[in-house]
Amino acid sequence: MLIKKELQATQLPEEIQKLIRRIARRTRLRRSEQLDVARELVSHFEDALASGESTSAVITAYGNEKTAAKLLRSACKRKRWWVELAFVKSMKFAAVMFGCFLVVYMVLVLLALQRKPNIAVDYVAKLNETAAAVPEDERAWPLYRAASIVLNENNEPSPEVDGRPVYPTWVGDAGWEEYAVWLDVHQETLPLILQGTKKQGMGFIVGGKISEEDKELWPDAYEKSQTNFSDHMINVLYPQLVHLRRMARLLRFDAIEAAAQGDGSRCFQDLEALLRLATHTREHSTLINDLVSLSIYRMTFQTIGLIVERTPEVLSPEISALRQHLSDLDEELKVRFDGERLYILDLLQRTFTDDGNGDGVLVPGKLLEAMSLSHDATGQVNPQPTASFLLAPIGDVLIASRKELLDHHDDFLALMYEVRDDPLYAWGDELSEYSSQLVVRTAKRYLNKYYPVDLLIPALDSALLQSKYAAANRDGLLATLFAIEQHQASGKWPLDLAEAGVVDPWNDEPWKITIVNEQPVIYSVGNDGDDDGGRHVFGAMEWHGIPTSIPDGDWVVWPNPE
Amino acid sequence: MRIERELMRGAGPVAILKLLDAKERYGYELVSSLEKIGKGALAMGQSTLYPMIYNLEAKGLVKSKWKEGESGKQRKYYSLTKDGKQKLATDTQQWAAVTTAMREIGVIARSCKLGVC
Repeated sequence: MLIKKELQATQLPEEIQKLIRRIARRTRLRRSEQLDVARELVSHFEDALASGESTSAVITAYGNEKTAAKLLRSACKRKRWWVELAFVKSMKFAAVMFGCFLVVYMVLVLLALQRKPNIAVDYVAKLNETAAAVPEDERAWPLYRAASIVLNENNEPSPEVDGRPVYPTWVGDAGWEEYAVWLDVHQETLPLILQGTKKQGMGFIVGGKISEEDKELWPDAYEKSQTNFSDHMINVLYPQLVHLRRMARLLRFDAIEAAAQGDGSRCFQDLEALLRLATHTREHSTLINDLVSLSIYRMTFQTIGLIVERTPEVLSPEISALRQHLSDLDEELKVRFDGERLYILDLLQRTFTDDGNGDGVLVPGKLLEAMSLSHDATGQVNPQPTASFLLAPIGDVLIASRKELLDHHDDFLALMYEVRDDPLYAWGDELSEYSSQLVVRTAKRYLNKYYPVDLLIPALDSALLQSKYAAANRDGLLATLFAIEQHQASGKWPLDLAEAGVVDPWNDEPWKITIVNEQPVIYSVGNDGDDDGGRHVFGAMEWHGIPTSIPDGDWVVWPNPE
Repeated sequence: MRIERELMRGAGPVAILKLLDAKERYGYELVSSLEKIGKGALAMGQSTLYPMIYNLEAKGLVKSKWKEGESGKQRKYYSLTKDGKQKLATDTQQWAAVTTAMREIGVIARSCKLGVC
């Protein structure tokens, strides 16, 4: 518009005005540059006409307008500020480079799309090997299932006194009446459980689907698992664990009632069943199974301690057998990592290609799918971003290879196995340091090339501690039973527990015994490592990462001070 | 006589620099001067002249400014910069050497003047 106005203000003939407009427009320069060119051309043509030339001669003399526009454009662009020229050149270079990168990237995406995982091993079947090997007639699960269905209908009571929950530990405690009723209701349930614990194994087959046989026990989960089924090991369900704990609770209270009623045989039977139930719980080598098993063991140890404290005579004939059974539990009280490794192996075979030598590269979308599954406890396969395959080349750079990830995981497990047998007093900084590094790496998310594996590494150090606490509980109980046995045999409490066959996990020396008011007190020196004469302090049995938080005192195991 | 494009590409800018060495000039003045002084030999398409000047300006050999001429008309006047003067001096020496060499060889006759032998 500016050029048109400028031209209209001149005396130039229409043809020349149009020619100037066309040339200026054809230069495709900026408005201000076009205006400058047009002004100079106006001046040029005015001078040419003033020299007496005709309009047509002037136009002819000027030459080819197309060539003129082209030459003017390139000449004017050269006149621009060098910074601007450098910027434009840089941008062009960047655009070309980006274009090349885009082409290469898309080729990489296309190549990545050809990748396929090779799901060669059924790791769920491997996890089930022990359970599947149990003969049909030696499987406890059908009996446990029947018991669980009845327990579902009448679960553990939650007694209250004055609106506050109470937790009776012995017959006659507040709220015990409800437990008595509960035990009475389950008089036919208990034999099912006891019968089950006598079986060779549990024989429960885990998977992502609830079986037809278990439909009655878990109708909702059964329905859900029919539609949202994934055969990823991440989605393996362990619904049996909660029922095993419920059955353990029933056995515990029945053992206490039996002890209070002076029925040593029934009491011992319940305690033996509890120990067998804990063993059955370990049928699958995953951490969750081991942790539930440990909790049942610790509940049993605590129950035995309570019974021999309140009714020492009831278990007298069985003390020796109990000691033997408890002594045989060394391996049972250790957590295992085999199942965790199976999870990683399954994840890797589903998300990476297989080069036949244990290595491979990411298969687009599969890792995101697996991550989604690991975040969703319902086992539902969430829809993935439609363009997730576009991330494949980035994933190749950011995520370690299949072999690297497995090696990383195996290194971690090797460290865990190394410290697994360390006593509590030697529980070291090395593991704490490793755990801290793991937390930092996991927080970095996708900037951590081991992220997929780190994310799935559970707090194994905590699990190891739990197993050490369970072993400490067991050893404290063994020391107690030894003392009781000595007392029963000689009428005197032993002066020390050097012959008990177990050592204090906090100093590797015999457990301590002291007599207070003619009653024995059996204790460990506790986390602080020094003998405080049996003065119990809360938290003395636990490991504390910060030295200043270690309580000064002992850990009394019997009689239970808490 | 019209000079071939390739030859003109080398000669044109030097001729413009030389014309501007004497005094500042505007576009059409350069066009007509080249035609008159060179007797048509250095005449170039007017559409070529302006880009050529702009290129010299981009190289910093020529500078321009709009100003009112004697007739009272606004025109863009071009003049030599310091770099332009140096470039003209260098180019003049080179052209002299080329011309001498051409004369020695016999491409240019000793009596030839402005294309007429």
